[in-house]
Amino acid sequence: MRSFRLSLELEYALIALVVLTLVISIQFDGTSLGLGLSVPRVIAGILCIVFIPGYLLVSAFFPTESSLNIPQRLALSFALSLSMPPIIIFILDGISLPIQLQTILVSVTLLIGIVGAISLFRRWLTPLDQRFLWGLPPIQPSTSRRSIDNVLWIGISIGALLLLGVIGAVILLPEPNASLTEFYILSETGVAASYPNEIMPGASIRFQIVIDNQEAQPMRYDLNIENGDQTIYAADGLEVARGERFQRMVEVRPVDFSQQTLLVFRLYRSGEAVAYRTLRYWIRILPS
Amino acid sequence: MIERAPTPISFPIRWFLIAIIALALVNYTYLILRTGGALSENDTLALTAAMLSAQEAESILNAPRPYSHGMNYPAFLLEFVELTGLSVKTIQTVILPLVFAIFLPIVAFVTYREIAQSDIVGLFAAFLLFLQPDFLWVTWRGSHEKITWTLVLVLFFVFARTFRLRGQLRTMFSYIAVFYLVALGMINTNMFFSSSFIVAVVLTFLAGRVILAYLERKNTDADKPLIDLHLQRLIYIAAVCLLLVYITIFYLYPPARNSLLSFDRIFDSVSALVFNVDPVADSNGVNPYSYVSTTWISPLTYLALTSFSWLILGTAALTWLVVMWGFWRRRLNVRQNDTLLFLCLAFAAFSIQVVLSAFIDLSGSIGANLQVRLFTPVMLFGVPLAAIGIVTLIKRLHLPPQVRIAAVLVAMLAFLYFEFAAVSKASNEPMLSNKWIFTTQPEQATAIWLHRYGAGGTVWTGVDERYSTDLSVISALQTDDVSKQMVLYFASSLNTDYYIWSELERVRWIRLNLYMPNILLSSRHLIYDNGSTQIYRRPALTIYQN
Repeated sequence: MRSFRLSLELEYALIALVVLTLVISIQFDGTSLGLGLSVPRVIAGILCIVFIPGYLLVSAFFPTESSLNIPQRLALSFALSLSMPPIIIFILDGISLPIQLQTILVSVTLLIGIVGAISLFRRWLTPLDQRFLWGLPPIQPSTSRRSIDNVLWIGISIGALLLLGVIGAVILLPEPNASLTEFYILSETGVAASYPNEIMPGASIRFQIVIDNQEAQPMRYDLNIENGDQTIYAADGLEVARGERFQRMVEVRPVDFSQQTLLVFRLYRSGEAVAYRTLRYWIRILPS
Repeated sequence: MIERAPTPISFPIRWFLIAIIALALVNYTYLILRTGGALSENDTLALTAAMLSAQEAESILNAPRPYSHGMNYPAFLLEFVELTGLSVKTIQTVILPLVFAIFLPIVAFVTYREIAQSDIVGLFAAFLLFLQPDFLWVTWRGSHEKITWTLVLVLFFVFARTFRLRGQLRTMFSYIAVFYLVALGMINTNMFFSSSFIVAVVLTFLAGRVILAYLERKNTDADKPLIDLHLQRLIYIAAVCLLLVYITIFYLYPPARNSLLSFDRIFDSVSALVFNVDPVADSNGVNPYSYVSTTWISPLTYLALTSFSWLILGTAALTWLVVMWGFWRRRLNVRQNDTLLFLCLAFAAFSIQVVLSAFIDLSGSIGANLQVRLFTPVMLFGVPLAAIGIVTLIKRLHLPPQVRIAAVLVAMLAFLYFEFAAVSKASNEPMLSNKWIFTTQPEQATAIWLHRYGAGGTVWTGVDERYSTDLSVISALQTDDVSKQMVLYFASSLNTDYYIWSELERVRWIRLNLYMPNILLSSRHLIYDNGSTQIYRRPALTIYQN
């Protein structure tokens, strides 16, 4: 006994609406909430991949109410949907069509359309009293079980809301950046290789020094390059906006002429005595 | 064995089913949050890379780096990425676990309900399944296994469902069509698992024939039990599935054929088909039997976290013995308990495969993780057997009310403990496990930097594959051109162009009581520092090095 039943027309209209939402949100590259992501597209996309094709196929195979109950229908719908991708890919690859957004969209829409038409036809032919239709069970009269149901219902609702919140946050919010400043040296050519290895005493070498500010705020840095006991390069009060990068070609002349001399690059947050980031570089000094 | 009394109307099946879905959602959400969505794991990498390769090539069959065991999961991922517009990382680590958390409990419930012919056993078995750490792990990570096990469960549901069809030829054909569509999906998801599945089906058939021959030896009736006919169908199923595997490997999906032909010996190829061995595992030379002592802080911890699995396996084995004894002594009627007999046969078949694969593992003849791969199907069929045993026992015990309250309290405490153990084991809880499966944001930033500015070459990434896995994913995301990607090393392969050292790695070395590589790193150029992670570069020793 069911208190409410979804008509066949409404059910297929809802499915068509989901597919239409997917097509429109992709074709118009719809963005919502100003977050550069189409929420309707995500929801419609998930439904069109993991549920709708299988559901329609199950409806085509089992149009009567008595053949399967709702959990069985859901389980088979999911499994059959998971089995569909290879068929689509075989067809697309088989006729040498590129597998990309448009071809996938067209093939999934076509698949849903064809299977949907077959299932609609089969269910239409099934006598109304035997036809499977979505329904809600009647509201139970008050019993001692009702309080347990209420507790379960409240608990599960809270859990579901929390989880939806988590899912929504993960999908919608941009990934939080760790508070970090990237400090690095590149060779003259701008790669992390081909650095100068050896120089004559008194000669200079060139590096690109980069400070990438991924902190949550604008930063002010001081930069020192030391060799031996001396500071051979200093640049104070380097303002770098949040998400911006400071890049400078620096030419330094080592003053320590040991066979192996060390250049130490120290980056300070302005006003602090302890280095925030440190790099070091070994240079071989050739005999003069 | 199972009482066939209908479930009382007042029994809130739908609420219990929703509660199990909620449990699954809580478990997967915990796992996602525990790793911060930064799961760094081999299978996730392999399948993500295969999907990216296919996306770049705009073809699955002609992708330069295909997933050789099957194309379903990369194809499924590709569809997902294209249609939803989400990043593959978000889909792999967040969306898919949550989608499966909603549907997988329903699949498990309907399958177990159909096999046990009992709502309560079906619900209880589905509940137990989501407390099983290995099942949680394989269905959470970005591996094909979440699809594979879903399809396996559905195949058994459809097969068991047909036991109830008598004289309904048209409906039977519908189920057969659904069965082979799902089977095709499973074969294309992982054809090596599928072939081992077929072997299990054949074993089920053979064991069933032997048992039925014994049970029916004195039966002179022409009317044979229907289970006999159903078991005969298993051999047709095996034959058709084998044909599908053959066509897929040798005609439809060439990468699988190449993978199969890459084995040096015929024996290895046959073993791959029978036991689902991964040739990659062979080259690593990892011994899963000594693995436990190195990957957990102590063997006792591992035992405590996996106690639920052993308990379930023990209970399932005991139930199996009782049930088979019941059949043997004719206390259980084959005609009335056909699905139960089928469940016992399937459990035995997969268990035999695990035992054989463990021997092959130890012999060292082929890959090293066969028993690990085949453990999940044993659990899939062990769980309903254990549920049947426990439910039957509870029904037969007539406990006084006070003892009943105490038993409920003990059960609740046990649930809390097993829930803690399940999520701890599945997430490789860093406080308990030495095998960490996540990376930090500074490490990810470092990986991106290295791929932007690094000049190719070799990179040392730490004590094990944790970080190199992540770096490989980023590498695959940055470029699909293999020649531009870096060669990653870990452990003792220290002679590399770049070395990455992080705070997290330092903590791991302390945990593992390893000597820090300070001396090695002090003679290298320190070219990158983000506070938590540093990159070192080896100095050029000759004018020919850059």
